[in-house]
Amino acid sequence: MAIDNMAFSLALILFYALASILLVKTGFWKKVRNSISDNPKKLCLLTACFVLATPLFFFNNPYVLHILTLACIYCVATIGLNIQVGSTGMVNFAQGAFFGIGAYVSALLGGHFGVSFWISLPAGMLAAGFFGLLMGLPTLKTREYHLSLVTIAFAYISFLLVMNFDWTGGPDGIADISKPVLFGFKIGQTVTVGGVTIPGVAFYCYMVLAFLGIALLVAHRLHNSWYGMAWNAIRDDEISSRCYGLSLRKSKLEAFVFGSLFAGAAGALYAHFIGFMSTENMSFQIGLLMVCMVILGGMDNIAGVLVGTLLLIVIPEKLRAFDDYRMLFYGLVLISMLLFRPQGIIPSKPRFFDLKKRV
Amino acid sequence: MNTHNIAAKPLLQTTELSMEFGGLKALNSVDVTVSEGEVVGLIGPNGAGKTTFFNMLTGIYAPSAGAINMSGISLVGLSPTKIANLGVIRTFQTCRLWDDMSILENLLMGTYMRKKPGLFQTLLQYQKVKDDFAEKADEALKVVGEFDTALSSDYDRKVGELSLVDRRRVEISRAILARPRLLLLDEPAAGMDPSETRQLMGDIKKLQSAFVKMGVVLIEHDMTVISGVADKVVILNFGTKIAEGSFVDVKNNPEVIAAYLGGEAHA
Repeated sequence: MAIDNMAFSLALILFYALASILLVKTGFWKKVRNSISDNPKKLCLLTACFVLATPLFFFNNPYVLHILTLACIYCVATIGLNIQVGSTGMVNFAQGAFFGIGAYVSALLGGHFGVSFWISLPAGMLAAGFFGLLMGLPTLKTREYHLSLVTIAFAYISFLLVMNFDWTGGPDGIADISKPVLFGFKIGQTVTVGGVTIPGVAFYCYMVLAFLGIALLVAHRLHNSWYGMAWNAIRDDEISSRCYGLSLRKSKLEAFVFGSLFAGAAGALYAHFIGFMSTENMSFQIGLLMVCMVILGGMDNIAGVLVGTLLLIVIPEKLRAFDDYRMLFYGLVLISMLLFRPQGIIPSKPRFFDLKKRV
Repeated sequence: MNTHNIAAKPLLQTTELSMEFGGLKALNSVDVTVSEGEVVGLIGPNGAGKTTFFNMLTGIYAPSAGAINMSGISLVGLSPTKIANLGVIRTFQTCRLWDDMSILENLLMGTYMRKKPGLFQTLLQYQKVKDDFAEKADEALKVVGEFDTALSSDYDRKVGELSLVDRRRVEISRAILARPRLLLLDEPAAGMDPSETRQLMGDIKKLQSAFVKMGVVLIEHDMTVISGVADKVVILNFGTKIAEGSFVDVKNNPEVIAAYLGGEAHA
């Protein structure tokens, strides 16, 4: 069976590779790209309809919905990470830790105090944001590789603390995390309407999509505002940024806090989705994976980050047969991207300004 | 109200400003005064301490000794951010633009210190952010269009791809958009050909008439620029001020000639 699976997976990869080469060679890809850049609004609408319709087709296949939900949860975390890695140029490997902080705070509040998900999720976000601020303070004195080292240290410290505290469940983690309840309806329970069985995961999927929508809107507005501009300026040249009145301290801390808030929300969504949270899901590897997603997709481009995240969640699932080589695969992706296309699959573009007064 | 006839108020005053790097005295007790509306040319051979002087005025280096006074406020020990917010804006010898950002984004960042929408507006009243950007972009493109209309029509290009001259133009435009009270220009004409240099001189004069109270300090090796626009010339050599006065006065100063052409500096 394993051999068959492997052969199938390899055939699949070959098929996609040939198909993509064909698409580029025939010029079809260029046409698609032009039509995308001509009507961005239509494209957004189309994508939104497509995404909203997708779960409908998989009511009889909860596994696909499960992967889709997981991918969307990761998207929330990676668009937050993009603020730091893509916009500000601070390669933060600790996003997994903030993801974990959000997850643990939300899960513990729900488990120990019976707090509703709708309160424990913001609490998880705030906790992650607070720790983001805390980690941001020492990183202000560092830059580039040294900054990354501080974030790696933070990722390991938080991992070890959660592992060794008693009240976090230690290595056993937390089990039986409750599903969110909205107006008496438990999001995640299976419902049968007129003979059609809707799996619980479909409801959770739609809820996560709603959260992702909000996250996208916030990230888009931050990017296309003075915040995003300041972050880009700091990434490109710190000295000239300071000479034009930017406070590095303020802007960098903002980048850390905003990014961590996203990670905290993603973590809370994850914990209540899976129903189980352990230190394995907040380890350094998770942070590394998220950095890979951002670099693969396209730094400082939100659409790119979504694509990168989706690819790095879906491809390993398709290649279950090669599960042992998963880390190798991430490494390969990262190195080949940095070598051949450092700007990512969808590179960043200049901001669009609505120049009304100009003729 | 404030005409040129009234004796101009001093804008910037340095007293006995010194900078030491280890044992090396990069600047030694330099006194310079810049008045409102005055263009001061800062010249001297390579390594004379001109750029060091700018780095101290903008807070990049903290002076080893001496005082810097900007209309009553001491700049010593302040961060570059605070100094920029007091209205001291500089350009860089090597053009420090934000290379991965577009021309328009660079120019807009010049207006960063002005009133702008905050977090609340960004997240909940996004139209205000758009309007704010549109308004400032309009002004920014007008400013850079004065230099070259190619720059204002092709505003989506990344500045990293531009030629040296265009980069300088974007940089000077960015500085003007910051509405400086004291503008520090570090070799703006370097790399420009004579006609471009003439245009630059015209632009500096235009600036002077547009912002009558703005002081300008100009580092330049091109003497046509200095003689054309500077009201006063300060000459540095080995970190020490050796002469100050009008261009005609200092041109014939034997010490200056010695500094530039070599030889013994005995007057």
